[in-house]
Amino acid sequence: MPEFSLKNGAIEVILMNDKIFLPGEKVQETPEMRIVPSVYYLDENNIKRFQRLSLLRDNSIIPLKGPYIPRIGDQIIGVISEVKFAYYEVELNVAFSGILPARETKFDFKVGQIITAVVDEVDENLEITLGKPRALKRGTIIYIDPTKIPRILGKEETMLNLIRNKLNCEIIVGKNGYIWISGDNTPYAIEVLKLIESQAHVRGLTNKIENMLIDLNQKLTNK
Amino acid sequence: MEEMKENNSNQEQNQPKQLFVNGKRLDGRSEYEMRELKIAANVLNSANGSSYIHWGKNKIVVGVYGPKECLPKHTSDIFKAIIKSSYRMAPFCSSEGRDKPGPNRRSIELSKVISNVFEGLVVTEAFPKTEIDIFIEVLQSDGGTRCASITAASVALAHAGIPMKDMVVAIACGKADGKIVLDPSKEEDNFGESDIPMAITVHSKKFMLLQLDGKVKKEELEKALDLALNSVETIYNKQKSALENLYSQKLDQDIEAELVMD
Repeated sequence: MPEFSLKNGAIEVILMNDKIFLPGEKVQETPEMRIVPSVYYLDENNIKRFQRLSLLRDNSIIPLKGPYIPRIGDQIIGVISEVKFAYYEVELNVAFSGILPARETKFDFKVGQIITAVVDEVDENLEITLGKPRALKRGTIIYIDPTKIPRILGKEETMLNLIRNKLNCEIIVGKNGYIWISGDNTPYAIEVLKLIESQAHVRGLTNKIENMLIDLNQKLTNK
Repeated sequence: MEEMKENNSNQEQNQPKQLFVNGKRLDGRSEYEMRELKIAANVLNSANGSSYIHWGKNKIVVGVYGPKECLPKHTSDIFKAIIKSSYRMAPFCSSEGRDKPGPNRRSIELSKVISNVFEGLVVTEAFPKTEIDIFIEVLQSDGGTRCASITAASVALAHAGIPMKDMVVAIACGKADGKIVLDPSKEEDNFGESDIPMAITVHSKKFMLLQLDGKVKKEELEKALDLALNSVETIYNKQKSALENLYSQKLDQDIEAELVMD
């Protein structure tokens, strides 16, 4: 466990009750603990063991990093990579490109167009069929580790709304890790989002980011 | 053939007369002492997971990519992911100089051996029809690179967040001047009687790799296995602290220093 220390007046981030688990360690469960199911597996003796790098904090265990595992109903963002006769192939930054049936839309998409859509179907090979597509014009997309997406949204999207309001940007977050941003302050928004990704495990991050955004907002309005 | 003869004569000239001097090994270690070990994670920007290991004089960088679509498609498996590892020695990694480019017999063997270790560990059933790439680049070698590679690749895979049943550590035992030694260096590897690299899972203590060059007696092999098993914990602690260090950064100053804005 990392040590608790005071260096240059700053408290080391990971405090005593936080713990990092490596693959193979036993899951020691308490009744009030919440565990994301993808972090553990059952071994031959039916003991729950970790299979991914995970963090215990405030009685919940969350994965720290990992690939996107698609679920029905997820909103995702992708780029049209191929136009076929009856469907489009959409690049989603997962192993296989998603399939968007042409009957789902009355518009014609072009290769390279950014779209947002909803996962309609996931088969046993984790191949994705999409529905309800919507073209996203202008704007740019960035990639962030899919496990950090809940942190970027915040509780009831508080963190995301904060960035939207203070930087005057349109932002749509895809569960697959792609984030679409549009507006004059896009470069600042990208930096803030990347910062949240790298500091996602830090306690009290929302307050920090809020203070930073208020400063930034003042700077931008004074310009 | 003439070149080979020259090489052999060179080797004979370099051969030390004895591998033990005053009860100590050539680099000053005792029989059951490991070389100094340092591991760092997250050293590459574009890889999904990465690690760097510095074990004695070995320096190795490992990058993990995936799971991604398995290409060429005929190599894929419809039930599980394929682990493709590529072990490569940099031309400047040892004193032997530059070999012809491309994989040679040795690097093909080690790639295969390392793939086999991780095929038994990664939860491959979770990602059918995909591949997971492990790229291992040896920057400097001094005996025991396959063990160092496996130890580092285990950290890189965990850092990438790829589901694994257990962490694995690897260490070699050797026989030098008739004595079983832990973690043989290059001289002991080349001029000793035997070399036994082993890869062991940390929690279930399963042997994922056991190779043997040269000749050992049954008791000596048992002793080597015991020695390796005893050093699992030491290596695992290094792996663990490498991954924990990633997530124990300081708040306040750092957070603002990173954000460069005008």
